[in-house]
Amino acid sequence: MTVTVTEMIRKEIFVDAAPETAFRVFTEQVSDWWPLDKYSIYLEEAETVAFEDRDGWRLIERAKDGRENVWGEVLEYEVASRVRFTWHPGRDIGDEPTEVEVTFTADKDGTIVVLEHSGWESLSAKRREGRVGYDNGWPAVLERFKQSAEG
Amino acid sequence: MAYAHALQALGDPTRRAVLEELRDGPRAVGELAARLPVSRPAVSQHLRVLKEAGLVTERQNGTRRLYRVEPDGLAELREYLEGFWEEALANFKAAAEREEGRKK
Repeated sequence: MTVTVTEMIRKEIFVDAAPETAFRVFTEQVSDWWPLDKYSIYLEEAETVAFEDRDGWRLIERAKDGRENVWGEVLEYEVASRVRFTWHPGRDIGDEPTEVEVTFTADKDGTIVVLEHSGWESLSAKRREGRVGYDNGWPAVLERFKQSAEG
Repeated sequence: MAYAHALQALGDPTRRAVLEELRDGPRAVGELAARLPVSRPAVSQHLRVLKEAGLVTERQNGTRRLYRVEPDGLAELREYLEGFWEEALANFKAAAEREEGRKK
C-alpha cells in the first residue's frame, strides 16, 4: 500500500465572490457546476444533483424518470463557513463512506475554498485485511468516467 | 496509464461482480464460478483481464490458485477522483463568480 492512498485529497481554490455567495452556490446550486455528464450515477439520464432536506440534509442525484441516488449525508454545516458530508455515491448509507469537508474563508475581496476528501485510511486498512468491498461505489462511477472519456 | 486499463476492466458488469465476490477474501476460480451466473472459463477470462489491469493478483496456495483484490487499485481510483474534484471546483468557481456578478 502506498502512502498516497491514505492521504486525503485536498484542493484549494480562490473564488472572486463573497463567502456567502460561494457557500450558497456550493450548497444550493449544485447542478449549476457539478459535471453531471461525467460524474453521476445516471449519466445522460441524470437531471439534477442537489442538497435536499429529507430527514436531514442529503446530497441527492435525480434522474429524468424520477429515480434517485443518495450520494451522501450532511454531517454538519455553518452557513458561509463550512459544510461536511459523507460520500458514498452508488452505495447504501453507512457502507464505508469517505468524507468531504469544504471550508469557505474570506480573503481579500473573495473566498478561499478548501475541499478535503478523506477517509481513505479506513478503506485501505480494511482492504489490507482482505475483507472489504473493493467497490464502495467507485466502479459504477468509474464506468461513467470511462464512458464519458471515450465519448 | 494503469488506470486506463482499470477503467476498461471495470466497464464490464460481470467483472465488477467478480471483484464484489473477492471482497470477502481470496477465492479460487471454481468458487467464483459457483457463486456467479457464468461458466468457469468465463470467470478465468475475466480474472485474466482484471489481473492485467492490476486490480487482481493471484497466488498459489498448496494445490489451489487463489485470486484476491490488489489494494493498489484503490490508488488509481483516488487519483482519478482527484482529477474530478479539480474539474468540479473549477466549474464551481466560475458559477460562484457569475452569481456574484449578478449581485453587483
